[in-house]
Amino acid sequence: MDVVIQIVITGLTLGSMYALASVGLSLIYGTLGMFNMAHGLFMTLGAYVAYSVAVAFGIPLVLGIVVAMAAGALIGIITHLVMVRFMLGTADFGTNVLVATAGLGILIEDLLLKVYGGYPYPQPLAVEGFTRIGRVTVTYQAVIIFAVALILILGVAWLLLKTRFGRAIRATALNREAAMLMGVKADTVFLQVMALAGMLAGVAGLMISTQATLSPQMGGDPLLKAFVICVVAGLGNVWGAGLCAFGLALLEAAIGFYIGVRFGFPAMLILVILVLIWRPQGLFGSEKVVRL
Amino acid sequence: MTQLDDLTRHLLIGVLVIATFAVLPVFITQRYLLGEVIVFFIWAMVAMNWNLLMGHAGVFSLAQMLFFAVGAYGMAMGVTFTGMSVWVAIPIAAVSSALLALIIGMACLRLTGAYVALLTYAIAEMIHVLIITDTECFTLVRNNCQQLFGGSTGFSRFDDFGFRPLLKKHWILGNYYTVLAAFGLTIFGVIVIIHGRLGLAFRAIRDNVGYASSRGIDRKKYQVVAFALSALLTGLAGGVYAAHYRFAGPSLFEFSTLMFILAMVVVGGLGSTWGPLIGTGIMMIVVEFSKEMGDARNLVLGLALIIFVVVMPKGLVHLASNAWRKVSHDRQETKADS
Amino acid sequence: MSAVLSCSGLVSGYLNRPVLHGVSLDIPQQGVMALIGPNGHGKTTLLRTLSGFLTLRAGHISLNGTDINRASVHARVESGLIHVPQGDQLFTEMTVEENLLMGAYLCVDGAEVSNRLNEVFALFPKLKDRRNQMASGLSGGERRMVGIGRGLMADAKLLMLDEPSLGLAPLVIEQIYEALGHLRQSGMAFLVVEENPSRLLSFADSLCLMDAGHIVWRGTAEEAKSSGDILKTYLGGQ
Repeated sequence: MDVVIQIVITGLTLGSMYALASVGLSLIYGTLGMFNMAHGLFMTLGAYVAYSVAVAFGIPLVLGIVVAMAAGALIGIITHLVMVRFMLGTADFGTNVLVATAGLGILIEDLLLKVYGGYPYPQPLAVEGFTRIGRVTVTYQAVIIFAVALILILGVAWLLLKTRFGRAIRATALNREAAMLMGVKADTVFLQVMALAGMLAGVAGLMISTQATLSPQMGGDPLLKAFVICVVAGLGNVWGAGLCAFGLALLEAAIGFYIGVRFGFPAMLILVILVLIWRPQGLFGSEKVVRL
Repeated sequence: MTQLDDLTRHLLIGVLVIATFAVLPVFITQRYLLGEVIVFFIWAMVAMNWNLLMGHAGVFSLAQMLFFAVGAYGMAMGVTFTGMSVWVAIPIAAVSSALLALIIGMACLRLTGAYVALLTYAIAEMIHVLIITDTECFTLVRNNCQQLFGGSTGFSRFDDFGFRPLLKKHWILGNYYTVLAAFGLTIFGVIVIIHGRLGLAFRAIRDNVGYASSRGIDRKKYQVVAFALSALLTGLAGGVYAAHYRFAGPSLFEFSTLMFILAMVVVGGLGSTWGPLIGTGIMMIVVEFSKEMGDARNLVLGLALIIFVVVMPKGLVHLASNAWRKVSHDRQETKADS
Repeated sequence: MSAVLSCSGLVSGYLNRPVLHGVSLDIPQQGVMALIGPNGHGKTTLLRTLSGFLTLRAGHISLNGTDINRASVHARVESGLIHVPQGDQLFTEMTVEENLLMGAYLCVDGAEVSNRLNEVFALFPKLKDRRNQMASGLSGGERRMVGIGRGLMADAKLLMLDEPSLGLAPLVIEQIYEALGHLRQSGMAFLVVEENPSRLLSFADSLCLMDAGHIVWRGTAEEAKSSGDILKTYLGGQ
């Protein structure tokens, strides 16, 4: 029983972080049709900025979250304004933007390395202490991660489903031209989506850094997981991404416990590939009928 | 002048390029510079194959360095564990790379576009992580633990081409011509694919998947073939790399290496024939300079990728051919005037 | 009567191939103007040019006397130029009600929006029953109703309908035109594009015939009926 509890808790903690990362990634893909290879660095940047502000002013975690969100939103906005905006609607947008954001990722990583150095820092915003469920230790930090992810994801869901703002985003994602005919400024929606996804990434980065340490490469692994999650959910399917994040995280936790941590990701990937052979459009993706 | 068809014309250019490099050691004798040209051959092989996949076959693979690594590791493992000759190990390693590509391709190429990019990247990263986290000793080499796949240090100091005892202080020339041969093989292979029947199928698929498939061109089948062929040649590049440097290690999987090659393809011209060669040369020079300016390699790589994709998505070759067309057009006009 | 929208000498099209070769048109403040003509001769291109998706190479467009040559798509929507595109272009994974609400996207007054929603439901009672259904699950006729309803949700000065009968069964076309008939009492201006003019001859106040990127004939429905040659030439004897 303890083993199951342990796996569930590890899975939920991991899943929370993956969900924050992949929901944003999926939102960007769904709306702009762009795969953001720099998303991992959005996360890393959020973690580092929160770290710097925490070291300088000694802010509490709540403010740290706000700072990480702001940093993530800012980099999302900058990415859109200086790069993506000029590429939208050009030939081979999907491929080119992947290359460009990969370039941006390596650029930010190098800048972080130059500013902070490669030495891994502990995240001062992490909360100490733990409680027990049975004989299983649950850190307060894990509880916070789960709560933050839940609140933010429900917040995004509410925003997308219940508000005029969210309707405009969904409409643009579903049919860009029709949305424009309703008076939606597509450019503004893209900017908002980049900011929103950047915000989620920033928080994800902060949360990840409380579980391990800060390093310029810290975004790589969660980004990889987020990729796989988005692919198996069906690219652009935001809800599917959230669900798959938790599902795959639980799987990873279980494999990690029974077989070995290093096989967690390979098992995840093999499962994903099997799923894709069965359903190439992803678990939650709808089959697109293309007229010839 | 008679009109040559594309295939013949490009093959002739290929012969010219290889001939130029073949006589180059007459003029360049410093070992360092020859070493740099060898590195150029190796990266250009990888870049040309990547361009073949991404620019022509429409497969956005991010596993190219995986295939390179399979070539390098395969060669290193063959030599280290079985003591086989380098000349046997390299072809075996290249074929292993192609076989792996065949399996990955059959699993992933039902999908298209970004899905393929992400999956191939995930697979390459997975193998990378599995290799570096492996701590189990397979054998002992010089009293050191040697993992089956080299662990976090990889393989080094195994047999190379064996030109040192043969050519004494001119051993680098032996390596030079060996790698040049592999380079030449790649050039001809890639050109035959791009401008031959397979390339025709790719163009058909790219222009209109539906129509192509109604004429019996199966997208997946052709893309898997292209994937495996390019992995074969990329694995060959990896094999000669390992034999030249006597090294194969997890650094080959690094993201920045992948971006370095990608920058070569993009800067040179995605979808062209000769762009990657030019891109390789330029990026090697640029990176060499950027290293001197306070290790700005990744910064420069990132900037190059962004700028080229945003401003010049078709690369330098396209720019050059446009300029050439303009010049010849102007010349015709002046002729007409006079 | 002054024109709600007037354009002159419009040249536009795709890439390097102009489709419109100097179209001039005045659309009256009220009533239905029909734009007819065979397929592939620029009717949809004209609408896409008017709503701002295609940039003008030459010519002028003014809406209620204001020049909108360079106005963006959303600015044109804001000033009341509403385009109901061909083939509905619904937001398939949104409910009927959400689709309609998107039509009133620019209206931030909640009470006004629900007023308009009720008006659309009054016009198309079927949609009220289906309000919480996904648009992807609707029949062709219902989709058309959502498409037109979505256009009506906006504060339109001129409503441009691109082939409202396209792909529908005759009975459903009947229903759609019946609803459109109710609308003409509203005092709004309509530009209705159809390939098949038979219905529009009785429905429209004036007709324009488009051919190869030009307006080749215009006049009232009566004139069109009496000078049947023109219509016969282009449309094969209606």
